[in-house]
Amino acid sequence: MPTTNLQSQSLGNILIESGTGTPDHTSPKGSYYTNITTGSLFINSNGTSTGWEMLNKVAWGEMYIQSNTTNTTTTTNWVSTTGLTWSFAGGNGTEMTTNGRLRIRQNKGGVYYILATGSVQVQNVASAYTFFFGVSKNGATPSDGFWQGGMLGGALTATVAEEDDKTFSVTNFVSLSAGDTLEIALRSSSAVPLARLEAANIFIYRIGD
Amino acid sequence: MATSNLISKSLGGVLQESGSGSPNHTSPRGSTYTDQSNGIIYLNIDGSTSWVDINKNSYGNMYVSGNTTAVTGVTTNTWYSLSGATWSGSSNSGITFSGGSDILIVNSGREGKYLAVANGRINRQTANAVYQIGFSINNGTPSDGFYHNSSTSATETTSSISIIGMFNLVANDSVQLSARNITTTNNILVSEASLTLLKIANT
Repeated sequence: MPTTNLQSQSLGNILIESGTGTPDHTSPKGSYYTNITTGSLFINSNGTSTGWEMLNKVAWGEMYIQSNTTNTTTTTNWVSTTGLTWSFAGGNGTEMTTNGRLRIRQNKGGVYYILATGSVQVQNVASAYTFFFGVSKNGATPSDGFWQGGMLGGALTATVAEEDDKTFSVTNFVSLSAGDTLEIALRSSSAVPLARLEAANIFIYRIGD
Repeated sequence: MATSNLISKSLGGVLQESGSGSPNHTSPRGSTYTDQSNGIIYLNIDGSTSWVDINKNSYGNMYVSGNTTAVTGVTTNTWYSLSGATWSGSSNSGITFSGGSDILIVNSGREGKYLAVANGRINRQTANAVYQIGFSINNGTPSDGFYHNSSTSATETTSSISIIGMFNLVANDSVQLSARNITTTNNILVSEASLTLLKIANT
């Protein structure tokens, strides 16, 4: 929604303003504007109607898993890892649910940056399999751009304790509302192998409304 | 440049101020100052002359998924753009995704220091090889510190690569992913990849 109900006060050569809606009006460079609907603050960077940039309202969170020894039975469909023992590293405006999901608190919705990494291990397989590591929003299938894959195994003895590891990552942006959750999911090119998510982190940082 | 043309208005115990140049004057802690020459806002943090600038958001992402178009005619140790794949862009603010050339471009007024994070999955082509994926700025060769490598083999035909970098970008600078084969002349196929830019400082 464009700017309405605009109120302005002069401070030298800039304006201090408030109104309703995302700013699309012209103000001097350096002016700032508060959208009273969302409480978001914008600053004008070039003196035109398109020069408005939002300043961050801080919200972030991280959860991780370390030294996990529990295997996940992967299939050709995405499988949640929320049954594993995840830890909450901390957050502001976010929390971890008891079953390993990162959840957005009330009034902290917005666009978030996601960075996730994970080390996946396959054990005792004579054939190679492609594994996929993804970030799931609200338990849904990870969208394109939110997963990465790679091949593990292939030269291991199926009956002897041998293992192979690969590290994956996900980097993207996602729009999240209060109550939305994020979790790590795994998938394989076959239902045969067991995958072990040895270690993983998922970090989110709010960057916009 | 030090503060000049300073204008101040009192708001209880803090000041709202504007002027020209980076602030070096004394104000109460919590006061804000806008440098009208570049549109950057600062916050006083100690009630003296210490000011921190507040970051202005810019971010963008592009990704490719399920690509089967390989880079052909490869020369060992030569970087190639991955723009032959069909990239998609998402959630851009201050960053333009150019679908035609498959690059992320910094918009006017959005210059600053950026965090770049990327990943890719490389696919074996005919023979074992070691590949690298890196950040290419303005279509240049990825600099040291801005590329990583991974190998493929007959038993593990795909492999993942992740990269992190931080660099200064100005308006109209472009960023894309490039790849090279450092051991053979086999084709380069990156089936999935993602590139993210996130502005972390104004200067």
